[in-house]
Amino acid sequence: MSGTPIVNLRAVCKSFGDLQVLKSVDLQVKLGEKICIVGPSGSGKSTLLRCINLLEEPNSGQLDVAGTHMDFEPGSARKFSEKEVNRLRQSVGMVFQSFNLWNHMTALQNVMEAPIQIKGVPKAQAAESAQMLLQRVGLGNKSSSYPSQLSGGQQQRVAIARALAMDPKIMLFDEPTSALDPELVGEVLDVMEKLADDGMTMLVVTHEMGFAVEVADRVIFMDHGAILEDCVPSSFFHQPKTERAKQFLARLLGRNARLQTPVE
Amino acid sequence: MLTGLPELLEATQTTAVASILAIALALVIGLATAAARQSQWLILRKIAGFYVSVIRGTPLYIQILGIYFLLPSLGIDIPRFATGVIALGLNSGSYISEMIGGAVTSISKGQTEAARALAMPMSTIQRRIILPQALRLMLPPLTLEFTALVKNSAFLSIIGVVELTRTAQQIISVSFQPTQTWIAVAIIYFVLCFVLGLVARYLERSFSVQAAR
Repeated sequence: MSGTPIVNLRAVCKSFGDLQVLKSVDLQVKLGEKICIVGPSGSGKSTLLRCINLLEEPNSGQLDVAGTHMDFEPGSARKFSEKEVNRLRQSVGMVFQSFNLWNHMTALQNVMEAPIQIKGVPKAQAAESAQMLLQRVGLGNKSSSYPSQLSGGQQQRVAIARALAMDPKIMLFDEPTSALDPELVGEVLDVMEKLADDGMTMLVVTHEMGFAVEVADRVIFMDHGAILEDCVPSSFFHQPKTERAKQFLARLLGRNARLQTPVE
Repeated sequence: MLTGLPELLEATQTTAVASILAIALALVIGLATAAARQSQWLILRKIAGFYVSVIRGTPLYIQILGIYFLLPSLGIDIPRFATGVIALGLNSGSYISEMIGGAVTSISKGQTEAARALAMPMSTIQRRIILPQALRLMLPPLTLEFTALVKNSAFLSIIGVVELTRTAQQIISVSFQPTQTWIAVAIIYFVLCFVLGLVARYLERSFSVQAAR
């Protein structure tokens, strides 16, 4: 149902040693929303994503993800059990910049592994669903290939299928195209667009501004660990409110403009 | 015809069986020690670290004698053959634990992270993601270690295990053919190690595909 919040972060802080990476971040994501998170490197975008599925544990703040509530009190020694954490993670799929496919398994095995191990799905049934997912990302004919036999774009599409195999309520994409050769970016973005059209809730850290304009309901601009802007793409790209967003966009668009000047 | 050849061949079986049992034991000890060294309990880490450094810092010869005299004084009375297998297994297990540790840390963090993000518990990640990949990386050094173990089994002669080397000494004491006998023994050890190498190469090929890395 559209309109229900699926992610709700309140005052989430995260530090690595002395470095404060997230400074009291609030974020609400409604079911079905597609949000792009942009900002300079080191602004905390990836850490924000990684706090949502607890790959990083916030130092303080509160977190509601897909019906699991977690309260992080500063200085409290309470650790959440592996079981609690994994219940939350079952609803959250994640796609990494470096794909992280398991190298010793074929594409099909990569996709069917988690449903078999975590949900106890029978092997034959898992293989069948995995094959369908590979077809969905356009790789039905690559099911028996190992990651080393696939291009970066193909690996990333398998990684998307692997995340979808757990039937997540929300998908996190952490710079999914940043490690790809330019000519392979399109095939991954196409799969992500299709996923968006199918109504998946998506949080995407990206530098692909075209994708943000086309697909996102909201664009979030982060800098120095804080959310500075949170609005619809058109107003972000045309009327950024903060100075830092203006500078960021100028740098980004300036580079593209230079590329577009015709060369004799 | 070499005097005592049938006895040598029979003793080869003892050497082979002792080696295989010791290899199995070493793998179990190696795995357990590697796990203990990563444990969250300090005491386990300390014990495992102590064991590895003691084995690394003392000669195998002394280790075998040490265990041979230590076990009875602890009230453990087992055959010499079993004592020998335990000594070889303990020795090799410490080196294997180091190899496992090295292989596990060389597997990229992303492999674990992807599994964590998919809600896999740590035990499943170890069993399904880390170890299968680590085993592939470890196969070449493991083969070297097992070859060394087969050759080191000659030291079991000092506690009276009647294996290949001990049998050769007994034969020579009556046949007075040291040169021929030792050459025959050398060839037998060589063949044993050669076969082990073949098995390892077969395993490596059948299981690495293009996957490793």
